[in-house]
Amino acid sequence: MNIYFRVEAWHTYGGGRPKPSLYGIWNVEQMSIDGVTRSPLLTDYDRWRRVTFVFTTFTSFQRMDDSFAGFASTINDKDKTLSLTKAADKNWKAGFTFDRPAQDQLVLDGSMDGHKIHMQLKLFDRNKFMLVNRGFHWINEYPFQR
Amino acid sequence: MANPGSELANEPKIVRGPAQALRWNLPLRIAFRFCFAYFTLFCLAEGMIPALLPAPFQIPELALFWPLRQITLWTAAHIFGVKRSIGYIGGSDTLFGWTSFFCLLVIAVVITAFWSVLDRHRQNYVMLHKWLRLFMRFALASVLFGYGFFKVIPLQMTFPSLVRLVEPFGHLSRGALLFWSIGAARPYEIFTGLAEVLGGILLILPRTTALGALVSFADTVQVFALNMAYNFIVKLFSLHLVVFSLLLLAPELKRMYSFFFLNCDTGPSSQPPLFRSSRANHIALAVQVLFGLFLAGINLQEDVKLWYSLGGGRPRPSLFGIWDVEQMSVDGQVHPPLLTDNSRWRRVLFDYTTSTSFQRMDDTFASFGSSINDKDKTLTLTKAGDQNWRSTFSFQRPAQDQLTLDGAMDGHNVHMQLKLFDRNRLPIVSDRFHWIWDGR
Repeated sequence: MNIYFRVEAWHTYGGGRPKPSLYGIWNVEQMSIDGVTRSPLLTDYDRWRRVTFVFTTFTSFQRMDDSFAGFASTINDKDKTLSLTKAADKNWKAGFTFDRPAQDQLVLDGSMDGHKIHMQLKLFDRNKFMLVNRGFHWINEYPFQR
Repeated sequence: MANPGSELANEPKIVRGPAQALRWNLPLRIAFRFCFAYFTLFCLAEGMIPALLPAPFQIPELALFWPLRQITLWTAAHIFGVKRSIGYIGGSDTLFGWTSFFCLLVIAVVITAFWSVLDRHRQNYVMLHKWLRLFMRFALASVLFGYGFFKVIPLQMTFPSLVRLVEPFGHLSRGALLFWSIGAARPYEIFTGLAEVLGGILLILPRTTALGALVSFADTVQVFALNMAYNFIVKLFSLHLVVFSLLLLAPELKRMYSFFFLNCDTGPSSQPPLFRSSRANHIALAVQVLFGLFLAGINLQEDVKLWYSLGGGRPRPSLFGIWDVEQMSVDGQVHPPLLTDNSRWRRVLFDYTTSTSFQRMDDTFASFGSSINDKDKTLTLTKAGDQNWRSTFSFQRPAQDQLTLDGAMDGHNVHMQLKLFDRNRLPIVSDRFHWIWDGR
């Protein structure tokens, strides 16, 4: 019984869980709020730095100061919409339409907190992370471990 | 003695039990010859003997010297077809280390073959095994003391450096992740160190050898599993330590089987004492204990010294801390903190007295050799890769958490205003131990 439930859990929220269609770390290359382009300034609290789609029902936005905002999320792949809600505020809602002109490009258009938002995102290649790309090696020439 | 062999007739009767006179079966005799040849060679080649000796008498790893080095290099080039230079470096997981391992295996097989032919009438190797066991106990104990005290004084894994505290998680390799995470949990590091020291202590005492082998088996299996899972660098060497533990355990496996599975009387250990007279054995015990204390002592002494030079007790630079670059201008022109600006620094991290790291806006780092002169209020940076490169700043610290740097870098005038980041805002630094978890 235990094994059965654990296997099921693996396929629901473990490594075997379904992944959202937009899965990945997306860098916000360009962003405008109410038509005004916001440069990627560390000090701009209202600009997003990254959007990470990891779970089907949850999406995280990273601010320029590296802090995160987490939203409950639904991705509708047919209508190409993304809707966000907040657990703490039943009335809060943000809706985006998305467009994926290329595998590693994403455009989000919508509104958040009463402001019009336009974002152009680029998929970050996770294989650039040493934690992801470094496989198993029997032979290691360098004793130094980064 | 039920079946005394001819060779044994001249040897002194050492043991109470009949084990001594037993004829070991052929596979066991061959296996013993191989183990004796291989592990003696391994200890000599890989520097497990030097660990047993004090500094002036230390002999280096023989794998790096004639003839082993030449054999290894020849094998790499002609048997494994390695084109590039594999260097003379030690370390078990390098290409040199693996080739050396292969060579030692082959040499041990050859020795075993000759030995088995020349010594084919031998009944058993009780005598030789007794001394091999003594040697292996101390070789393994010296390694366990080495690694153990290196953790008891938390040096092997250190608390994450300032660079690691602000570096994105994904930048680390799994091996680095393992190291920094254990370093962040100092009590756990000390605990694992004590487990290794315990194995060493139990191996030093003849009577507790079996328990010591069990403890060191647990220790070394854990180390090997971590090395494999985290792709850490001493896989081959740690596997040898596991085999060392098993070989020390082997003569006791029958008794353990009786104890754990058959629930029947196990009797005393069949391992003979070193000498015939009990007086000699008392002296031998005293010598072993003293030598064990000596091994523990030199490791502990060395590690305490290291703690004050490289570990948590090292001197810190006067400007120690994570400094956020609040404002920066290059040649008089202010550079706003744009992620895309490659010529602007994001942070400066003063962690060590002789090196300083600068973080770029894209989170990558540049590291410099550095010296801080507190009297003249100057900071000098150098590059390891470029002897002629030099950069000098004068600094001012109008308040504890404020720093101004003025100087030149790569021919440009650089002015920076920095603010000390409060490290306690990072949970990894500020989290204290709690029995009660309030859900946060």
